[in-house]
Amino acid sequence: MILMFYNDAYFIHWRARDNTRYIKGHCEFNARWPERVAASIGRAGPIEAISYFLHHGGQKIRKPAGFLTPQNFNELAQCIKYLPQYNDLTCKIAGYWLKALPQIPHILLCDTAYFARLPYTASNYAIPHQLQRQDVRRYGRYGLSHQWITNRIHPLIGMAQPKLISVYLGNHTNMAALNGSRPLETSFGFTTIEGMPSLTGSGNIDPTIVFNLHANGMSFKEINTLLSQKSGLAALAGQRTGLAAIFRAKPGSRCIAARDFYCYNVRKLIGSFVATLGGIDALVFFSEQPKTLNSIIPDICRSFKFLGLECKKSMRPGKNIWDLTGKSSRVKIYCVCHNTWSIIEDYSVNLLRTRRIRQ
Amino acid sequence: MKLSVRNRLKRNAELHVLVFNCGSSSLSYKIFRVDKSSRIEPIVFGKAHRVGVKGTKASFITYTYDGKCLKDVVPIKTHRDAADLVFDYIERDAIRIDLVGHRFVHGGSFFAKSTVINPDTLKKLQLCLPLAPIHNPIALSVIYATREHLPGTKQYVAFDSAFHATLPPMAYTYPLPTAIVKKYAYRKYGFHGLSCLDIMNKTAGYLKVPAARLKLIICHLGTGGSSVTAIQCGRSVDTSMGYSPLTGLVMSTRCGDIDPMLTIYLMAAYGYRPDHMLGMLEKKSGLMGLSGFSSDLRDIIDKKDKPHAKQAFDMYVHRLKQYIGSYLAVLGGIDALVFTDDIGVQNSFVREKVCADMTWAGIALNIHKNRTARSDRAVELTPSNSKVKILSIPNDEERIICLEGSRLQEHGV
Repeated sequence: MILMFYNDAYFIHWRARDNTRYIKGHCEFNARWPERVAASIGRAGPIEAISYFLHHGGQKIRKPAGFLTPQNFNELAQCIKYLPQYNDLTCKIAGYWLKALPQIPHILLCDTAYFARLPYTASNYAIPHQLQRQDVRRYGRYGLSHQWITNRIHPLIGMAQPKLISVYLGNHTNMAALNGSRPLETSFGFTTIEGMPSLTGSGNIDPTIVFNLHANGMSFKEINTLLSQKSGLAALAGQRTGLAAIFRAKPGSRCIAARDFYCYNVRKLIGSFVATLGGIDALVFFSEQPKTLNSIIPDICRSFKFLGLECKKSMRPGKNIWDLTGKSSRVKIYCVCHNTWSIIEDYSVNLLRTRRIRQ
Repeated sequence: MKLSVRNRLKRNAELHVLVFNCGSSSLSYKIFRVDKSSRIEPIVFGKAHRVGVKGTKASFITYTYDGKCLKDVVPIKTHRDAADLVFDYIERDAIRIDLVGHRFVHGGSFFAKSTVINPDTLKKLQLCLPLAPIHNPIALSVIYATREHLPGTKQYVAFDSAFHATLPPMAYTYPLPTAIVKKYAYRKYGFHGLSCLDIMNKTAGYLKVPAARLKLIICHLGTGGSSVTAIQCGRSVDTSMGYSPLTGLVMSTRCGDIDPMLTIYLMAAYGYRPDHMLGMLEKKSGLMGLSGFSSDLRDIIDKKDKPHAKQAFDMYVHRLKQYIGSYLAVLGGIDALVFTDDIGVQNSFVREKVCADMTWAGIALNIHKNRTARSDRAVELTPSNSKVKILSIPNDEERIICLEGSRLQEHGV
């Protein structure tokens, strides 16, 4: 049985699967969290391995999946600074289990590692060298998802080195451009604020506005909160609202401005990534709730008719992958159901398998 | 004897328009003669160089009138001083001036088109000063200088941001809380509008297709600032500069697009003061920051073996290609890709690299035409059967400012 952990800033989530059942649980991070995990596992089969999900590996962790040992634990600890709220928790969870169960393999999955080898042009900002040195680069995120999804899509395209754009449509919309399996560009930058607007995050805005707000009396802490928690699509919709409602918005409704703005920016980003790749062979959308995309994928695809890209009018119910390629489309279009836990499980199982082969 | 401009017009049937165009360290000026059938012809032109620049090289001003060219090497501390020199020449040669036009970079939310200067507009111009702290104050100082030298003469301003007043909401919106956006008038304004307008009209003329039926991407690549604009139905629909001229492409010293959170992080982590931080993004970033030795793209191309030179050049091209790609998506394909301004018309190497690997969009450069293209006229760089044209067209902002003036004059405002 593999025990898998995923944490955000306050909560720990876990999953495990043995022959008979699927264990899932979550709890707040406090002194009693190990007891909660132990109670949830109960007598289920022996734990063979434990995997952890690291949100930000910075410059230190450059492998999407690797083994964590007492010897390299320090590398993980050095990553805390890249995303303190999240990484600190991941580090504590891993530290606890490394001590508690030293005899089993521990697996560290890193969400930025896939983009650690982005080309220079995509991984840097046009700022002075004195600023570039200090760990400032475009890290990207969702690397595990983009890699996992493209690995599944590649066999369907049937080309040696397809030019592919993988687009996550959800609360933290972002995308990656890949030539074969090599990432050439991603839309998240130093932080996840860069790129697309999220439900409450501003996305790319003119940085002069940051300084202008400060000159008008706002502290940088307040501006930080403003850009990450009070802006974005919810600010445009002018109310507390969910992404699904924005996606469904009809002309004339309150959310339509947010929907138009969202689709417009997705189209622009896809266009810029096509230019980076020098063309496109496949476009892949993924989401936890692919059905909510039914109404926006055709809208996004419409502006790429000039590339010979044409998508099917409606998504037939399917299992996990939908082929949306239109009859005469020169570009393949897919939609994939995204599930973080199955991705974590796949990476963990695969890594353990390579270890067994080596042994 | 003082006659109104209109009466004088009737008598002379032609209009003399003096146009001032302030750069951050230069002042270009031209006097145009506009005849009855609206033909425009420059009769005087010149430029003050290295205005207010401290350095070893001296500042100077040129003046060309009636076939004679003159160059005076004199200290020019401010743009006002430069304007005073221009008026000295004009008075000496007794050239009649009917109308004076000025380029004003940032008209904020006050001005969506060219406007005649009166006490009310002057107040609004004052309010626009902080929006473009380098360019706006110097333009205003030249307006005041003109008022002293030619007290009765009508003046007007043409705005670099006005052409982009047609952007649709999804292009100009910053997704911040509505109250804040309204209070501070945050939106994408965009710049280089006069140049874009000029190029749009010239492209339409060159292709013999009305501008209203063209989809264009215009790359204004200057030695200082650069931007890309998408044009549809004769209107600007998106542009790469934003609330300020800092964003978009990698420029000579401006960083272009950057994670807005990065600025906050750097100040918090390394203790940079806000004005210092913004100053670094405006004056020490872009090509200067990347290369570490020059803010001039031509320099960087020449010294490509120096460390970081190639990276700086690659980044410049990379960002520009991305914007072209994203505007191709906005427009759903284009009729022409147009290069303009100093780098745009003079540098065939940049055009070649930008247009490489763009056949997916029907963009393919003829290498020979590109390399032999002249920079003083509109040139087509694509094979004659190409569906998407690539053009290189020199711009003339002063001419557009003059046109705006004669249009204002015709409407009698």
